[in-house]
Amino acid sequence: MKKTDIISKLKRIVGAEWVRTDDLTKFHFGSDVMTHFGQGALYPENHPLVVVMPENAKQIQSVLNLSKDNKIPLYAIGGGTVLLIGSIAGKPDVGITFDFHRMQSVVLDDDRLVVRAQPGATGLQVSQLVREKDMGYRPYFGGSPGTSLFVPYQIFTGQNKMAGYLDGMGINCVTGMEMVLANGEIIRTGSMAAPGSPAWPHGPGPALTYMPFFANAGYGIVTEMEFRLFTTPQEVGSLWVTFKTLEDACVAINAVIKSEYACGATVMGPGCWTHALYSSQHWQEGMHFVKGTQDINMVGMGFRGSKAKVEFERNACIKMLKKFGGVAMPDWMVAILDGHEANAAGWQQCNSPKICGTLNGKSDSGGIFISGGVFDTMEKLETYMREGMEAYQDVCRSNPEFLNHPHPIVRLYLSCGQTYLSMGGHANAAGEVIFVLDYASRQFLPMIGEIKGRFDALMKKIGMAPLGVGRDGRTWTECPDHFAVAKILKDVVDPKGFMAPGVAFPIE
Amino acid sequence: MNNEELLEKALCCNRCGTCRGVVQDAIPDVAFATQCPCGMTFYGAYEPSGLMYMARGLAQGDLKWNEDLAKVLYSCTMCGYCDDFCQRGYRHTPAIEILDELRARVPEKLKPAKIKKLSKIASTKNNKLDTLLGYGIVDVTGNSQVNTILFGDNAIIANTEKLKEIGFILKKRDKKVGCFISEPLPPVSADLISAGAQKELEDAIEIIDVKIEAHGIKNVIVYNPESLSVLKRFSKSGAEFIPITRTCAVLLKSKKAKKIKLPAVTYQDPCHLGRYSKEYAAPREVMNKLGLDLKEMWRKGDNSLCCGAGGGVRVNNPSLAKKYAANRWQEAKATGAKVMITACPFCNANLMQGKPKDIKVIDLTSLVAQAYGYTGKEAR
Repeated sequence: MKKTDIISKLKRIVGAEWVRTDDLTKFHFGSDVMTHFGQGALYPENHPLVVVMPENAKQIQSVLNLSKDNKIPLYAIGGGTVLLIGSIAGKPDVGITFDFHRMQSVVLDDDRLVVRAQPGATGLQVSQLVREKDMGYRPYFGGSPGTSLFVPYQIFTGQNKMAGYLDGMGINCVTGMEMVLANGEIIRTGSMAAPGSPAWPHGPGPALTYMPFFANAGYGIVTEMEFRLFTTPQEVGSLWVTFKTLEDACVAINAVIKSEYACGATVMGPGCWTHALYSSQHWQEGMHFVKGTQDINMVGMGFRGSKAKVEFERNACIKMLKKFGGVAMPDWMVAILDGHEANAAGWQQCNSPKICGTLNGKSDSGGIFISGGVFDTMEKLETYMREGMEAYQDVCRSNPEFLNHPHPIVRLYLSCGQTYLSMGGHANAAGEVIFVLDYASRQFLPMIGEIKGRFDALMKKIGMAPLGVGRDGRTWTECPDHFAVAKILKDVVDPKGFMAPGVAFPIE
Repeated sequence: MNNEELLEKALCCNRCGTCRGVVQDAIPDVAFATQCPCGMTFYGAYEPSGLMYMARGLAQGDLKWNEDLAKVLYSCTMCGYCDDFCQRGYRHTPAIEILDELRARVPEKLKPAKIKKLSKIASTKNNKLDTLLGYGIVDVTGNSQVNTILFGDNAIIANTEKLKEIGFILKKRDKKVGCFISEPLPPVSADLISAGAQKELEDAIEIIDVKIEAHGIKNVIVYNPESLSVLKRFSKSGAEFIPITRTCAVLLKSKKAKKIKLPAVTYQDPCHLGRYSKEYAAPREVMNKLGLDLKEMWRKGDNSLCCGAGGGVRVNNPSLAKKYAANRWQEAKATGAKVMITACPFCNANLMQGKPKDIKVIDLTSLVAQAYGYTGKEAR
């Protein structure tokens, strides 16, 4: 089919005003946060052929069928800020890209304690609406431990960007969704399977509701979701425990995870400065800086509930972690860390820019550079972190000015790679190295590029995949079981492979 | 600004889209949870990030000027919300500087005729500023006895009725006020920026600065917020530019006025008074002194939603400006107020478009004059 015919048909489906082919739109939708960082971009910019703004699931279904019948690649972009695999087209000048800004409905159902949102809504909007009701409930970050919010699983997961916002709605808060599958079928799952379905809590392991998360339109397009609301806790608390070795810390956190006491338990280290992913105060991913040594190994976690529950769990975890050689950090030090939570008051629609923006108050800091990967053994992760940090320090030694940024927080953040290990009740582990990219100091970009290159080479040597999944061939050497299942499902729902080729799944 | 500088600024935006939202804890309806007038109407490249990408693309040579780009640019009201929001701690993108530069770069052939007209500074030939003489305001041309003047801006220079109201209010002050009456200052306003006539604006402000300095003027009272904002931004005279709402607030503190009897009112923060000039308090102080029952809209103060008039949109594309105004009316109606108060003649004019029949639009200065007993018959 000719391009002009495709565009005519699209205009008939969604309305002429909502089909955009102008240069600016293609330029705008040809890039996202993953392409932005370079100047040392992680992926090249790829312009779509056309951007379509549907109004409802029926229109999405019609566009999808048009794409399927004519083998036109179909992509979906939300805010364009997903840090894992990006959202833009897998190849330049191909495909239809969905933009969901016309679908911004958010409806609170306080009988069923869910909020139903469309993909064009932002987490901030959902949070604002729930807060306005002042009903004692709020969205909730349902991250680790014990569930599947880990990098190896994110190939299965992720919809059109509604996870992990201000009040921390994570995928585990999702109770149901409406989705147009790649075969054109519209399915409704979980609490949306039937009108008035209860918002039942999720169980462990994969479920149909979670399947498409972070697949970034690889299986289909999510058109509506219901998020579960949780009571606002009486009390929250934090715990930080240091260990002599990373292995000790990892073994210890496994015990914590099995106890199902804490939330957001994370191992951090080794690195000069580390950050945790979880804020007990805000129930969200946040920042905690720890001034440590080069070989700090630390476990951080949060607690919430009644005062008695928080106290009990915290004490139980201290006891448990001490058995593995852990030393709990004193309250005053944790209080210092908690102070940073005020700065990380919300990741909102886009996580990193705000955090980095708050690092130095008023200047041009911003952006996070990531090198990270998923690992099937702890040993591989340890090797990556150890050798990676050595490579990083080696580069830093040759560029001492890199370590002398005028702002103390940025200087300290820059002075090390951030490494963390996040693991849950499953076998896999993820490691990332994160750098603040200071826009006021872009002279460091080549250096950051060098560091990225060193980490990528290391990743290749170890045989693991960088975060990037379908955009990087090495992905499919990683976590073979998970990806094999993902591929089987993909072949079933999208045998023609027209859904987001080159994003979550490689171009074949 | 050269391409390198433009790129440097544009790269601050990584299209995080946070500026789509409103920084408020709670919002009753998603309809009130977005901000950018053109972004929330057209989405996509019409959102602030699209405009920042336009700058980036042009600076890098990836984009060339064409009608599509011009259409997007002239749909923006230059309300400044994206800039203000981003500066509050997100990525510090200098969106206003970027938008100013984009407007200045639009090739002449792509400028709509109505936008081109805005590049001409309003004429001072038929000025009615001598109306002020009847209220004790002195002509400072050739006279340096006063250090506070009223700026004869483009909204009042030929508007006898408004001049009478303002003259009446200023007469209540104990201190003398002057005005360049026989040889008015160039009545600059943000229209020049909207039209991309930055050079003309700078030249005119240089003339203003010279006259202000030569006459030892320390304070300049300005009625039109669109004039106030450019004077505040670009004047190097050292004079203080004071919005007339601030003058009214100070006056009401020292000289009692009668209470105004009106049903519940709501207030539209003008972008050039609020976001550009950071004056949010004075209008509210005035309304409080006048005894008005203010029902605030959800998007208020530094989160206020633009009425849709700015950036030349009302002049160039009235139906679009009306569409933007409808967003504001939706929110105003939700407050239950029966009067919409504004402190900007252009907000006033634009909000008259699509106005619900049962709601009045009133200029705040008129209410202050009324509170001091102004009837319109006090002129010489």
